[in-house]
Amino acid sequence: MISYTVGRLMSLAISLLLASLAIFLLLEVLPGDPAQFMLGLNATPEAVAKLRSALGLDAPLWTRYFDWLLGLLQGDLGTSYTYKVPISGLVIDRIGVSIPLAVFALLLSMLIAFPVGIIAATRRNSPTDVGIMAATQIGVALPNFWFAMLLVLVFAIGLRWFSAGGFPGWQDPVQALRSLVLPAVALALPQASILARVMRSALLDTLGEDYVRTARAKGLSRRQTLWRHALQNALIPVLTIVGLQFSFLLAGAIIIENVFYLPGLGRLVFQGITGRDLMVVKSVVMLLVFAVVVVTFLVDIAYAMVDPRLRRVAS
Amino acid sequence: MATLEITGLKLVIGSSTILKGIDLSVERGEVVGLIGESGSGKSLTALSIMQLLPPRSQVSGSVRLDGQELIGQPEPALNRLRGARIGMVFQEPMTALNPVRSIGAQIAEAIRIHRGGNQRTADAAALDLLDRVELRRAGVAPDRFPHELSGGQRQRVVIAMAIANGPDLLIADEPTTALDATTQAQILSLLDRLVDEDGMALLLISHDLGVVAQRADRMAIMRGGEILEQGPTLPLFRALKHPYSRALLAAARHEPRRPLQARSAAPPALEIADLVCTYKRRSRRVFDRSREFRAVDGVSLAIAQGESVGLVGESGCGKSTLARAVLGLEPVRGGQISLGGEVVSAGLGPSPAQRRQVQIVFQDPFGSFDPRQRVSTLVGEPLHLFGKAAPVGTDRRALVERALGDVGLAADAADRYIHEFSGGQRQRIAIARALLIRPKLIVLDEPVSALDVSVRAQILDLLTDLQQRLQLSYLFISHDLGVVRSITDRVLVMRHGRIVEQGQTARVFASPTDAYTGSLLAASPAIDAILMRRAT
Repeated sequence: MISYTVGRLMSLAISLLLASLAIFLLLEVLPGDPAQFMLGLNATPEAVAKLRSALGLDAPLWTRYFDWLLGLLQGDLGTSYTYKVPISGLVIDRIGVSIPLAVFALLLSMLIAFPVGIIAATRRNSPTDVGIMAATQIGVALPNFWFAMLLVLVFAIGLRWFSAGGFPGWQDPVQALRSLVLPAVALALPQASILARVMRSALLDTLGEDYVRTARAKGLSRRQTLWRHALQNALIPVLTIVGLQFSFLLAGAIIIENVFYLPGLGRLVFQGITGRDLMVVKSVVMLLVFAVVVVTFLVDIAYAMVDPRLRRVAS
Repeated sequence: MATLEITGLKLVIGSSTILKGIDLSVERGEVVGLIGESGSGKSLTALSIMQLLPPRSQVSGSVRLDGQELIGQPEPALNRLRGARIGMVFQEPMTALNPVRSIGAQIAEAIRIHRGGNQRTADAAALDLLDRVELRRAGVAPDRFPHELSGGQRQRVVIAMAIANGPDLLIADEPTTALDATTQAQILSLLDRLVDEDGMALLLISHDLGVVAQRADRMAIMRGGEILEQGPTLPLFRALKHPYSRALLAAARHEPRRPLQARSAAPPALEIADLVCTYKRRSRRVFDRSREFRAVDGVSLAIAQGESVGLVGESGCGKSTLARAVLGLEPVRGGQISLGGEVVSAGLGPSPAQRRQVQIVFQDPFGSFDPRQRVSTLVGEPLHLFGKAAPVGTDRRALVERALGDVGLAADAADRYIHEFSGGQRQRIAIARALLIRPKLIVLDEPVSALDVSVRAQILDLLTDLQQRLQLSYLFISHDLGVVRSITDRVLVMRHGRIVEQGQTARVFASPTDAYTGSLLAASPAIDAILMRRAT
């Protein structure tokens, strides 16, 4: 297990290093000079040159890359060109929205998907199964921004149970969570539909395995066989999807954040791109990559906990 | 009263009738062999006893366990019977155990589910069971996982679970079919001993006449969902009445007629000198260097043109690695391989011209074809070895049809898909694919192991016939000594990556000089030797 963990950690470090290089170089080749953009079209070349040197943009490529990398390692994400404040401050505010939203949505997705997937698999080809499959098909196809607007219409404007958007901050945790309910539901439902379908097919696969028949021959009932033998094996493919979904929920919530006026990471990146605030874009994207890689690492560790074949190298 | 009494058992699944009225009984302490080829309904007979049938099954008739009717029992009552009074051992030990739970936990579960009690007593009982199936002395601890065990060891775990609660009836469905000859003999002796000690009834299901002839007190021969004849083993073998039973016995005894080959002056089809193939074995520690495992460790051999050479050994002895190296599919770490008198380049592997001299037929006729391609595409595949000079259109078609004709298939088989063919026909198609470009050497990697006895005999005849007609050389790899004896001129015995004995097949089988060869031979006697030994 230790050797497995160390191996995964090493691959994590290499992924991060390659990602940082890719992000840096990609933004380098992007057209548009931040200094020129900030000063406007009428700026004199001297003024632009002065600002460039003030922003550190005239240093050689590799110096700037290593300065940025070193800064990242020390937790310094750099300074925003437009806001003139440290990016870490901007990010911390946003993370307080984005991570709870992603976790909330993921938990909701699993809470819906697992029972639904299990019920569908155990009642294969029954009307229940057919109904669930049809419903999840619709869930997968629904665009989540449209679904989000529907939720706002019904639950915020119609029933007035939740607010239609905005985020009051964490001073009042109950209110903060309430404002995340509708965005989380809008995010979770399409994800839950996918996850339920994966759960169903993974479980159907394992229920057809020889060891399930062995378990029945031992005298276990159908239900016992499902809980003790089939489910743990079915979790292996399901975990993969859960990991991918968390990454998606963290980085891909831009549209939902816009629908609900939530100050999350997605909006920060969006503002950074439109304002040529490349430092913000660079560092926040790197942060998202970091989150995704860490989640992947955690999924890998979870694999090993579920599957002993990964824990020990066969002798 | 018999422990198991089956009368008039009928089974219908969907619209097809699988069992057409089975009558069979097994007494306490008795071993009854149930013989049949694939599709005969023998496995579904076993599952009918367990009442573990696929959906849409309709059973009628009677299955009694110590007088108690099982058919129609409610599910909870059956759950109390399964694993407690009826134990079952399955064919495929590699997949019969849950891969994510330790073997100890899986055995203990079989105990707790029926006897209750706490985890500690169940664990202790599981340890005793590991002892009874001789795993403890082999150093297999209960916290091991299935993937860490060999096939034979896994089958012992399955047996431990089946006997955990001292069942009245043990059903063993092809318990040794997936195992080596020596492992098979050990598992059968273990079952024998357990039946003796516990006095349970054993229903031994097999397609292998030898297995049943060796162990069973009585036997029944099954075909098409019916029992053709049954009775005490020895008398029944002596006076088989049904033509199918007799054909089955003849097929098991079958040896193709092979006239002696004239020595050819041509350079050997294959020559191997001091061949070494290694695998990297991953270390458990992070920064340790991985160790090397020598799968093939200094093997030398030669196969003359038109000669058939057998290569026998247990699984893991390196015989398949050797075959892959000959085909250029495995990197060679030392020594050299020559095809048709020309040395294969160690760095580049065989040249296209050399590759055209060797073809292979694999064991599994179900897994070794792309199901989405037509037979004409599958069989024509080796033609790519000719590069731009490969024939196309009608020329190609003619070659494919000639190869199909060689193996006794009609030309229109070329337009069909592989799922339309039976196992034996698929193996014919595999041979046709190998023959297409008229190679000098064909490597046959367990070509008949997955086939029924009667089909096996036909394929062996076909191979013999082709060899004589086309002057082919064979490297025939098998763990089945009977097959090797019938079809090879010389035999090599491989163990731990080395050749431990080689010589003329007849000589090696009659008087082996190596102790390991002797044990291999003792583990898989011919059917007549078994019957003779049992008669005295």
